[in-house]
Amino acid sequence: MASNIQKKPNVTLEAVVRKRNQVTLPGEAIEALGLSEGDTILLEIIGDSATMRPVRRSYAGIALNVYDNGYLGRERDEWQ
Amino acid sequence: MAVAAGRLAAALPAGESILLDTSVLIAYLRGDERASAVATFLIDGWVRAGRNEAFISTISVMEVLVGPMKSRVDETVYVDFLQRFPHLTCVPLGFESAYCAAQVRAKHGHKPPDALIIGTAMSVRAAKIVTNDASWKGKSEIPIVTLAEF
Repeated sequence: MASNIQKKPNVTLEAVVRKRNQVTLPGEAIEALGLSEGDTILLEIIGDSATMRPVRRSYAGIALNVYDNGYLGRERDEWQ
Repeated sequence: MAVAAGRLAAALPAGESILLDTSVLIAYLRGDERASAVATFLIDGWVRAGRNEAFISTISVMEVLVGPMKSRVDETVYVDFLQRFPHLTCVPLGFESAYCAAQVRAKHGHKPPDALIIGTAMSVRAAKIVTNDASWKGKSEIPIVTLAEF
């Protein structure tokens, strides 16, 4: 599936679960995901594995080539 | 493009709840429309900070997601925005929003999706509706604020 967000190379990193379920993310993960203190991450559990992604601070401009100029009008005209 | 923040603040006072039409969400997500700067100012600034609680209709969720799905673009990040953005709440369609939609459709002749979005605003008693569609002006019981004004 195509994406307008630039793909980065896949890497697998390791982190250890410590007391009170605390996990320290490797610096490489923090850098790759552009995270900083206070950011929220989403863990999507799929069976016995998981993917992690950051919650973005802004979504402005992510859809530059997704909606053309007449998009919404056409969507609404299809109702009648 | 500079945003007329003072006039926007007068139109949308702090503490007022607002309903964002799909046209505002698309201007924000596209980033290249004339209205994108003010949409970004409003959403990334005032909505994120909780200055104005914002509602969206489930109709808008559908309208926003059709774009990436038709373009075969991963919609995950769009879903994150619609579900997780601070102070942005999706309002499900229910009897009251449908009843209000019928009222505005009967009175003003809006298309069904427009009427359902305005009806949703009425059902949550939003103080203002923010849209990028100038044709809505004066066709709602709730004051309409259009992005082009700022």
